[in-house]
Amino acid sequence: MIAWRFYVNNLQRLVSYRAEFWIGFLGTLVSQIGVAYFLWKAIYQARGVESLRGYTFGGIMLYYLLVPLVERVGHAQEMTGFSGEIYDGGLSRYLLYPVSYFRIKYAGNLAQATVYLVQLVLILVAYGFAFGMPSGFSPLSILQGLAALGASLTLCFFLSAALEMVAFWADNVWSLWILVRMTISLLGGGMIPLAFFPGWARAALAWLPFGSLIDFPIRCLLGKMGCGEWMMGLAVAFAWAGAFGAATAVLWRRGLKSYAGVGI
Amino acid sequence: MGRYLRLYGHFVRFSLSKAMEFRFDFFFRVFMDLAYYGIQIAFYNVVFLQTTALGGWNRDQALVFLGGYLVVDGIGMTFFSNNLWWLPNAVNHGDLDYYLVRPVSSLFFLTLRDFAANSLINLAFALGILVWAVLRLPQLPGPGTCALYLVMIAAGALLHGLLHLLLLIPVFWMHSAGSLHGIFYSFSRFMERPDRIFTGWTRRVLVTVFPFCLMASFPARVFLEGPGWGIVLHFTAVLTAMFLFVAWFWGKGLRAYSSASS
Amino acid sequence: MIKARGLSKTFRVHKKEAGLKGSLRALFAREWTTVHALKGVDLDVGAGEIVGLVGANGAGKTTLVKALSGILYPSGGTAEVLGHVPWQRKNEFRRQIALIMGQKAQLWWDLPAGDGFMLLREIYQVPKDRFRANLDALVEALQIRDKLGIQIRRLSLGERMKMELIAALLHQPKVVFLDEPTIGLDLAAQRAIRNFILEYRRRENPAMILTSHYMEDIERLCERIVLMRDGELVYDGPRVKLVSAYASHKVLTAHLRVGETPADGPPRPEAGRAPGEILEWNGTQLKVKVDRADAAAAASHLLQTYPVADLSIEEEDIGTVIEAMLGKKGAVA
Repeated sequence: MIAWRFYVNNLQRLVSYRAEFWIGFLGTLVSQIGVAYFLWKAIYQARGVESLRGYTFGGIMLYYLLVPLVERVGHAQEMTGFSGEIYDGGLSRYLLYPVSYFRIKYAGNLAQATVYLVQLVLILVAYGFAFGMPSGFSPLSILQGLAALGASLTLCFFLSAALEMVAFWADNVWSLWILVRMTISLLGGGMIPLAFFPGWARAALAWLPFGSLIDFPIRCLLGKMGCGEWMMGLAVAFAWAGAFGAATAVLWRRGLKSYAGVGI
Repeated sequence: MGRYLRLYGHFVRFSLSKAMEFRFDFFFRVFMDLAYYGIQIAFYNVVFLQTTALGGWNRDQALVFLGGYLVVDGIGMTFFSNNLWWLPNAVNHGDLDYYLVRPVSSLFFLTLRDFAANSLINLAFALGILVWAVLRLPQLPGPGTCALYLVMIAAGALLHGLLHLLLLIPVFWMHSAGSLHGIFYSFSRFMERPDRIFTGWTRRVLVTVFPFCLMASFPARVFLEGPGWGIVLHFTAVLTAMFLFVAWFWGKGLRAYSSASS
Repeated sequence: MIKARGLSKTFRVHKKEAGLKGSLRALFAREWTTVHALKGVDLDVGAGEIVGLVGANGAGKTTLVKALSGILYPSGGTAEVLGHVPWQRKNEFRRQIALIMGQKAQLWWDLPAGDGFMLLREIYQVPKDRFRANLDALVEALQIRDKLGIQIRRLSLGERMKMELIAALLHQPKVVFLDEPTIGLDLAAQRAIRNFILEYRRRENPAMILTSHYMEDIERLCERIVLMRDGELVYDGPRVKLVSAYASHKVLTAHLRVGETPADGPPRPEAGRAPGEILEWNGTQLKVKVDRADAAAAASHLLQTYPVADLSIEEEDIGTVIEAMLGKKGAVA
């Protein structure tokens, strides 16, 4: 299948970015976790308690360890190349291929996600050896987590696709994308676990797509999810994925009409 | 020298006219940075739901620190960031060649050519946030301290630019640029929080060799707790050392420049 | 004005195997190879000379130019341009040189040419009236005044190159390095630029080094040619000598009077004469390639045998000569 070829190609390309592969990853990991470590150590010390909102200090550190890993699996490659392809006419190439453009892109996305999933597993295993697995962790939680990651992946793909469609009409999409990423980071639990938000905020966020991308998969993996809550979370995630998918389809059709294929 | 000032005047003029061309992009960047400011403020508010003190400061004091940080960031974004973003590209694609052939400092061009007008607007907002946070304090420090604070903030922004440049110079040897930017932005996170939450060797590194914690925290400490010779000396020493080191390191980089052949 | 002795430059480049396995291996260990771009080059160029630097891609031409303009530090050897060591990059040195690279724009992409020139005036500290005079003269010569307000990225390639040329000469440099200045241009633009370069030489008497793949550039502009192969100079001397000493053939072109040509096929040379190679025969024109020594004899033979309206004897095309020389092994005296 052609899409498989793209998958392998992408995998190859990714592995060749040697320094970026390791340094970039480690840099983000160390800084995100480093800052969180000191921040929460100060907070737990100031409060003098063992556990806050259901997280022990160790538990919250594991949460922060998982944030970049889960984020990467979910966000993977997205569609960020798309606006560039509109701008320089590279899209034309894909329109000629006998495969759906989105299938190609999704294949690439999966390739990237696979690499990151491997990273996630390796690091979790290392953590397990060093500190022992947390109590909530179990085969069930792994399963829930994988399902949640799949939902997150799909949701993120269609979210980014819908956003990238704007490239048909506007000059510059990346700033829009950064804005969205920042919002996801705060409202999705990337900066602070959603458990710490005030009650009214948590209730609202349960219906929004942001939490599905970070907080939801992590809580699944840590075994903090009851089955009912888990199914609800999946439903919300797939519903939003469907909504963005539909928006993408509409924008794609309208955008292609105005696509001029200009560029070098 | 007057020449460099006049050149910089040209830079600003040209950058402004270019910015006016892409209006959607211009307004969007302003909006994006404002969202960033909002998110940081929200973050601190959530954190202070769990505790009353962080790094030796209460909520109002921490917000003054945050305002100062946003100003430092704003200054950096206005003058340096765009240029530094493209620096590795210039090195890798041989754009540096033409600058090396001219009787002008290549570093001057490479770090200052693009004046980000949209960030200037954000800087104004950041100053507004700072003033708002300061006015919430029960007691304001004297004018001398305020002046010192502003000087240190400006110096902090300069230090920020120097650090970013420092982390980019390895591109002369490495050629792969993405990770270098990534490292800088990752470690910039340390700058967003009060420095005293960090302890031990981490803290020592963050206030000397990679002085991310110096840039916003030290000025804030001077402002909120009064100036002390220790802090000011420490700050000046690190800034000077960093400046000299970066100048030397840049020279080394140019020597190793192998100039992508056509 | 330009003096180079024993210039050498080596680069380290890393290799990678093709395929996924190679990528994975490269993740952990890399293999390096050394590229010798320049191997002990000696060169002298004086005022008013335009030296043509010719060679295959990768022969080291651009590396040599970059070393002499101060962009690269050589791995060995010395050079002096206008009395300065180029890679020390003193401002006094840089104010008197110019570099034009056909494949890389020096003017800022998003600025109109006029603004770019203003920046350059500031950089080179050219006094206002001299700048005005220079700019007017250059713009007139290249006929491009109406494009000064348009952003560089919107200009056509030819227009862009003209702007680049103006930008490089605004400060009246005494040493000019031109790296493929006419690449990708249409014939009219190429000609305009060649004439322009000659005019500049006439006025300012600079030392110029020109790199080009277009033989017409070399023929029209350079009286002296330097051939490079694999980082070494294999020939340094007058262009005409190159052809007369190393071209082994001449080309005779005979235009025949129409209506009186023999009806059958290509003519055969008479027995006893050295055979010439027939390059072209279309009923009205006969082109023959003969050994140099036999040119005169072959000419008289043609005049006797055919109804010749016009006969010309030309040197072999210089491109062919150079190609042959570059293909030879070892140095050429």
